[in-house]
Amino acid sequence: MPAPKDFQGLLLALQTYWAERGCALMQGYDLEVGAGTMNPATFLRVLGPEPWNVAYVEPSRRPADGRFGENPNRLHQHHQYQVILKPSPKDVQEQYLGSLKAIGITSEDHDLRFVEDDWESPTLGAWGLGWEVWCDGMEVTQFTYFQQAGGFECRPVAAELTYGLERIAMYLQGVDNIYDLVFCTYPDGTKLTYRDVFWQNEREQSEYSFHASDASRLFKLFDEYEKECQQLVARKLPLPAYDYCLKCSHAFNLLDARGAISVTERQGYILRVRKLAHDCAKLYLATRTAMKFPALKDRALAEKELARYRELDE
Amino acid sequence: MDLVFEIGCEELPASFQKPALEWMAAEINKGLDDARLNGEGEAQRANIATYATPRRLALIVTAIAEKAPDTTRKLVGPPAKAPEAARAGFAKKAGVALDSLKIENDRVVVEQHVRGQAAAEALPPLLEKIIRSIPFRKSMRWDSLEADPFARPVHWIVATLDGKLLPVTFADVKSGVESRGHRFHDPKPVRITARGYVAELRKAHVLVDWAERKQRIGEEVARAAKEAGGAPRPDDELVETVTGLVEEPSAVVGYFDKEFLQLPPEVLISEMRGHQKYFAVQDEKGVLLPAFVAVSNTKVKDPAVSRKGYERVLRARLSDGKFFFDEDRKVPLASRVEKLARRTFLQGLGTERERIDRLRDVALWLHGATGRGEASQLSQAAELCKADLTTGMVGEFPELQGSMGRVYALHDGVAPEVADAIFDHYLPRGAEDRLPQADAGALLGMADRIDQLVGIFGIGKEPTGTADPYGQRRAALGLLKVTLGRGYRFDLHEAMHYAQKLHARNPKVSQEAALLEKIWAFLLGRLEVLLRDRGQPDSIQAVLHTGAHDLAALEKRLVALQTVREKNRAQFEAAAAAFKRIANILAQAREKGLAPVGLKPDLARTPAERALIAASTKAGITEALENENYVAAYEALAALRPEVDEFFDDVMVMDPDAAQRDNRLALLRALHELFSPLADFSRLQVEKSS
Repeated sequence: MPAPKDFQGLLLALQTYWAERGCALMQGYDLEVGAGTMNPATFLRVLGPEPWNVAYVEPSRRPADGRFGENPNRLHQHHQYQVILKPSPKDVQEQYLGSLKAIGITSEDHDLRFVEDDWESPTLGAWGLGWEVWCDGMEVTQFTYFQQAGGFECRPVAAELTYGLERIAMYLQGVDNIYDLVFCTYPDGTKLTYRDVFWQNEREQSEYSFHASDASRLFKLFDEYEKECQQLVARKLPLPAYDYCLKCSHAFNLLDARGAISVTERQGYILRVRKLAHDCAKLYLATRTAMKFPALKDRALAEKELARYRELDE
Repeated sequence: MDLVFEIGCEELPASFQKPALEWMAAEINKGLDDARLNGEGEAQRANIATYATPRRLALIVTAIAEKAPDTTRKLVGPPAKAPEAARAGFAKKAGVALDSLKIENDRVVVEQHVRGQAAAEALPPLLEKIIRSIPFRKSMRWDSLEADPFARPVHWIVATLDGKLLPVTFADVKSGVESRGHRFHDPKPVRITARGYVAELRKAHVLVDWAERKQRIGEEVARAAKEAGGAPRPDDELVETVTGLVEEPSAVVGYFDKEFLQLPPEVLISEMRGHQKYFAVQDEKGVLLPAFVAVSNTKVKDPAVSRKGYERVLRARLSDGKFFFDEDRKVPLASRVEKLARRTFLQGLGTERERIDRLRDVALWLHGATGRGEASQLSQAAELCKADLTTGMVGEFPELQGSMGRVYALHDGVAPEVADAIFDHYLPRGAEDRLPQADAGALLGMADRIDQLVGIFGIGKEPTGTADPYGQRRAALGLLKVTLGRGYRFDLHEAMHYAQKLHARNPKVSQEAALLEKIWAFLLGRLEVLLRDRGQPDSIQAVLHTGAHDLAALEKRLVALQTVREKNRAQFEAAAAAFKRIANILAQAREKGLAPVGLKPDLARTPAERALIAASTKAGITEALENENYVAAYEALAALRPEVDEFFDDVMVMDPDAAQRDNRLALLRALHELFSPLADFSRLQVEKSS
């Protein structure tokens, strides 16, 4: 398979590959998230026994990583390609290696390695074991077998593949600066670059995260978002509640980038978000239980698993 | 019989492999013993070999007994006189006829023949038990709902005995007879045998033997480094890690821009080895070259392609490093110190700022007590020693703490002695590491460790069992090594007491005297290990429990004790035994509640008493002790022996006359106190004196 020539070609190749393997192609979430994992299509759907196979591009915001458009490798917002396979198929490593082949990365030409990397998100109360996948010494994917999310055990375990799209594209296109990436090529042969698309955003978002944000307002917003999340949990609406959990998380990231949270306070904020995530996860599981896990075809298994979760559905 | 047992899985963490093998070998050995399949006598024991790669853990065991020997088992039943019904019941339960019961010691007994279990029967449950209980640091579940956890998903199990399949089930995997070759070079099933295991897998591009693979990596890396005109920087730890990352190594050399050589070598090495697992390349003088060696798991078609990849990743990292280096140097270390006031050292032990204030005070105390070092240098070094924790570089590479402090301090124009002290105060960083080269770094490092021990023990976070979350064993060992290695003389107990008082503003830190006793006992435990090669265990015990808190004095006493012990064993033992006897008599007197009185020489009635008094007050002993001439003190002690022996032969200590008794006890007490700085004689294992 020839390597895709531009950034969007890479997305198309991955989309095609995973669509052919039974993944629903979804979109990135319409709220600010730090990673594809936070999208409810991952965080909530990995809970409970219902199968779920999905792939999507997640624009991921990391306010502290912004570099004013001046660093060739770091971005305030990068793009992840996120794949969830639940339950994790026996041949998930082979399927994954197949996806690399589909974007022109083969073991004949490259040193491909699965290197231990345990993943943990303290704010989501989630962890898993797996690897970072190396291509010639470069981390191209985070490969995780989800063990817990929101403090709940994942049954069955889902495999999560998170590709770092910019890195892979830089590698494939042989450029040393993110902004030199070709985003797409017009019919007349002229090229749209990553710089054309994102540079101004990088500069302004960095300015915002590091200098222009109003910390006292963000602190207030954090408190308000937290309350909104809590009242939605009380009304048994896990999905809207989770949206506000995400908003809290983003407000926290902004405050952190601004240097407004001291080391001692930091843990307290992380625990507050974690509590919200846990409450949303619990409520989501409870609502799926109340619906008797409709997506689970094996009804005997559904009955068995229902017993496990019934106590959540007060 | 020969066993092949291989667990095939997805890529295991490098650090998991060897501990798992050690555990598996011990378990199979124990299992074979319990099943009596290990043969009788050492010569017949089964041979256990272990192998691991990222994708497999294996046991190859040869010369297992085919079957455990048959044995008999005696069952004891009811009394012989018991009613027939009871005896019949016993016979029935034992499965024999009533008339075949024998009588022994008035009870009915039956001898049962127990057939020894065949290896083929005993092994499957044993192997299942092993695979289920390997203690990994972290385990996981995968696909199915109830699967057994393992370090990574298991894909195949080979279990054969003399080539025949042994049924073993784990998770959803059933055992088979075929292994797999290299993930990319030879993914097909491979038939493996006990005798040909290593060669069969080598053909399938897997170097399954750890030592062989490690050696190959060494050769490959050296070959590749030679292409760049240098040699790999020796780094056994990295070779070990890489051995756990590949099944068939091949090395590729790569280069980076010369301009990055401006970065301190420590930074370059950390960038290469830390995340990338690349080997640094140096010239014959040990100077780094702008090159590195990466070890690949696959032999790629064109190394130029992967080289470009390796170089690109390193370039990005080095650019980041250079960015930190340039940014960090814009802010002098001295002005970073204020940031430490906002950093917590440890919950309950205040901020880093408070910590460095304590370090300075303890370091100055040590300076005062030892008369070594220079006060202004120490104060300045203490002030700056943790400032590099706020730099971008140390944030990225925590292992560079101290190294960067020194580099940045020199850049700021700080005196070289002070800059060196910033680095040196972390020395030694491990068992093999060197000691600080000058007093400033040494005293500061000792202060750091004393402060940690007092603080961490003080908030109840001391090491327990194998858990030592704050590295206090290493801190203690470092403190002892620096103190002894550089010959500092001071009372360590007092130093700790001073450090404890400095913690007074941290309410969680205990201010009890018991805290210092606990730390002192912990330190003695470490000291015992450190001195292990310097004397017999009882000599070490006897010296450590003299109540002295000056480590160098303790060491000198141990050396003297060993010297006199080895020089004239019989003479020493007799003298020591006499002193042990004195210690015992005094202990008995204490138990009886006899209050000590002062010695009144005029009361002495017998010539033996008077002779011992005269001998013990003879000039020389006190001086020898004061001058720390412990060998001379021991000689003086040995010289007293005729008088001591005569005293015990002629004089009854526990005289009915209380005044005589107390005076004789007083004489013994004076003698005991005179020599007690040498050793606690009651802890010496010596023959009784004649």
